[in-house]
Amino acid sequence: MVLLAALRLGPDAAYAVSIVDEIEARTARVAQRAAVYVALRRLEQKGLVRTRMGDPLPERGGKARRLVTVEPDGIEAVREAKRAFSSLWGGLSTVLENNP
Amino acid sequence: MPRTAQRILRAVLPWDRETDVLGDLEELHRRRRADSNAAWANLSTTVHALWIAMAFVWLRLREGDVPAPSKLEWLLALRLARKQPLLTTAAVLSLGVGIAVAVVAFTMSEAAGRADLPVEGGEHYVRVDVRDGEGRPVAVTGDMLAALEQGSQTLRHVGGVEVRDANLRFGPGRIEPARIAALTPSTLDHVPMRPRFGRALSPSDAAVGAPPVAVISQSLWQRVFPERERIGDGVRVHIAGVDTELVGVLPDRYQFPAGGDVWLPLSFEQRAEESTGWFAIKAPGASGVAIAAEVSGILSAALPSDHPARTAGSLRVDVRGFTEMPGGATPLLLMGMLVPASVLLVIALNVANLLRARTATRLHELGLRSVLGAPRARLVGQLTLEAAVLALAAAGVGWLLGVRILGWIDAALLERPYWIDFSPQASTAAAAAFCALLITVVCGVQPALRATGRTAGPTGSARFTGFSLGTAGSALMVTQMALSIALLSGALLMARSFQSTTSRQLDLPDDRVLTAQVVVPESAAQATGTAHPMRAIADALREHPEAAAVGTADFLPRHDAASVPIELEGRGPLDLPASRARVSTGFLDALDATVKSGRLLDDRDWTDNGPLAVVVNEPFVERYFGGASPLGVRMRTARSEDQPPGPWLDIVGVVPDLGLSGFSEEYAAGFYEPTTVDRRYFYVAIETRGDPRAFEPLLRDQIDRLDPNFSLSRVELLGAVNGEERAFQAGFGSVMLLLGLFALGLALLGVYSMISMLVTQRRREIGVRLALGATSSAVLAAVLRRAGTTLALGALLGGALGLAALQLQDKMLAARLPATEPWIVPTVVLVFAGCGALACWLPALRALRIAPQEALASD
Repeated sequence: MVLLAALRLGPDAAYAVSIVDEIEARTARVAQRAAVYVALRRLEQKGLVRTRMGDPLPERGGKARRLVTVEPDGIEAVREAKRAFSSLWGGLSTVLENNP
Repeated sequence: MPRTAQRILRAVLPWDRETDVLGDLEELHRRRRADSNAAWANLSTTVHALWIAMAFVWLRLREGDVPAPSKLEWLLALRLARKQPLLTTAAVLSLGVGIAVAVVAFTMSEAAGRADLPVEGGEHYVRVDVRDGEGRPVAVTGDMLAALEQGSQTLRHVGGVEVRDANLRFGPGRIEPARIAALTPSTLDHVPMRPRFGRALSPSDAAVGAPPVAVISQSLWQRVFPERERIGDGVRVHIAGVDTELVGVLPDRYQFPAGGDVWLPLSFEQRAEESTGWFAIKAPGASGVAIAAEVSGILSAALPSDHPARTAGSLRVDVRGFTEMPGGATPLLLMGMLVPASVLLVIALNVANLLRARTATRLHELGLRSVLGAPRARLVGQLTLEAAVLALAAAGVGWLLGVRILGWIDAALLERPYWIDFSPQASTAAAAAFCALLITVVCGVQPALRATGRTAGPTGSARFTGFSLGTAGSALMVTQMALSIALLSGALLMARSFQSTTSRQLDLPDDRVLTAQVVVPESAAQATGTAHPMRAIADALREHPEAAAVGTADFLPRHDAASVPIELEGRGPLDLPASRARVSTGFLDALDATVKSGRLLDDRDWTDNGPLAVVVNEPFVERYFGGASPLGVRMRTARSEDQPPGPWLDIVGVVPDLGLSGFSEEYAAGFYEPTTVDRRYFYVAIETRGDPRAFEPLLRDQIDRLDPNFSLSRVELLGAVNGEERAFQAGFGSVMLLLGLFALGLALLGVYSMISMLVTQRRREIGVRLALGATSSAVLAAVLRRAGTTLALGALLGGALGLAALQLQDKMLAARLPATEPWIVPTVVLVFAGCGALACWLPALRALRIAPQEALASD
């Protein structure tokens, strides 16, 4: 979900706070910010994302944001995940309709 | 964003993440401020910061950023502890004492609050208290019991027990006191008796007309029949005057449901005593409320038509766990755990200040290691390890000391429920280990993080922040000083009370008088027909040739007699109450009371309508008559909230102070009134012609012959009366005094260390100021300003706490201590201020001796 949110936001707007906001807005679920930091750290270590410091902003007390850019390996990982989910989803519509 | 949140994150974040994470939190905080009030926003942000900090700590642990301590680091930590023996000893001892207190409190609270009966399914046993609408205990009949057993869905079994002290007569002149427990035999299906010899009780033993039988504990069996190895047929004793066959010998560990020496079958064919204790085994899932409702309904329906409870409103049933302490115990237990934990925390935080002061002297070493490439985690780890070494040593000392203290308490508290076991458990060791962990975090991690906190200097290089006590550290130091003063003030008061009780000389024949407590069972008072037991016992014993004088009373010397309001004829009710003891003829003679004026009480002073005269003591004369003769003056007990005024009584005599107050001379003023009201508990005093100890078997024999239902306890010489309480007060007072002095010493050591640290840190600054011409007073003011403020606040707060503690102590303690003496708190505060000034002065003198050129040359 972190990768998807980062992709949606784009490299100039994706950082920890906006990623959490995006996840909560899209999924109507509460996301733990601490977990997002851990996830971003792991994704960066795996080379799926890259982070850079943005410009300082007054609404952040003059502190810069750490912007997230999804790397090509990350995009490929998202595609793999989509293929896997689609494969698992296949044929489940009937099952879901019959089991309220 | 709140500073606390910033500090939390700065302490754990890698340096390259501080900017963006703090920025994220600042952005979120501003959003919260816009949506809610400032206080809620600050709290939310701080909690959020904690979560994020924990996540990053977890990350760093997973990534191996915190290395495990090497053998060399362990050796360095031990070497450091050895190099600073004073600090190490102070830290280990103080923490050890704190851990010992916490371990003892934790174990006792656990034992008292959560212990279950040591039987299978013990947690399902409950006590059932049945009272009528007016709050009086209800006597349960056999029919009521049977209705309950048959009709209850919430209870698997209902049983009863009566416990009392009685005499066991097993031969001519051979009497042994014993605790008798009468138990419903059906209970044995659930808690089987497994006797060592003979058989257990059976339901048939409780049948109407069944011959009286009993089982006896092994230790009592060995005392009574040392020559017998096994129980055979026809072993008979008299239990409370009833000829009874002993059929079995139980191991001493069998104590259900109450401790006893002898077990009898309890039968409910007749109406049971109000003193019968009820217990039950609840069915699975049954709640106390459901049980109470059901029992109330069944018993109400089963009440005989002529039962007194019929006319006293609906039944009230209270159900609680069998081992549960009576209402109000839970807050006491919580207090018993929280107070020692708080004391340990204050001690740990003070030791943390000492360790931080020590760390401050190593800033150069830490800075050098950092420049050479040591990660912050490694430095924090080393400092934490040094604290852990002290914490482990303290945990060991604390655990050993705690176990020893628990042993003393276990030996001293003989009168306690048998299921409460104060012996060390696995949880005791776990408590000590937890304390060690807490200390390591408080004394090691937190100071280490503060000491190695980074700030970027003007050249962009990182340098270590200097050490500062901070507001929180200062507040803790003030708190510890205040608590030390309060503790010492209370301890001094207790020490004074002990001194007053031991130095108080009473003119009493302590070695010639034998005393005992007599208990008259309620049923015995109704059934045996012994009229006026207090006078009857005194009259019967007086006939014995060994007894020189005999009397009974509701209080013995050195007990705290009842305090009653009084009035004198012509003067009205008096402000100060007086102590009163109700006595029989001969009591004052048994105490060998010297008549100072007038006469002692005699048979003229008793009538069937009430007493006619009193004898007062010299403190009474001094307080109410200013030393003038009170003879012929009439007095009476004054009206109170629940009592009308008593009859007017003539003061016919004056005796010396014979100990109407156990502890305080303030309550020594009192009078002796002839008793005309029978009591179930009273005392007998016998002045003997020979050795009073040799009179004990005669005393028991005589009481047993008079009425076998009477029981004796606390048979001791007059000099030993209330000895345990006095010894406890003395011991407790001494321990409190030691703890108070210890706490004060630790607080002063903390002040000394704080000033020393400040001088060391500001050495260069002081050198520069001296070189530029600053006066000594200016330098001292700069050094001592912070410490002086802390000392002053600590003294003020400690004085207030000390006064409050003395007032509270006076109300809470059962014994009546001397009135709060006004000199105690100011004296302690002055001593503290003086010692504190000295603790500041010594390191401050070092500051004045700094040579400017040396200070400037040093780094």
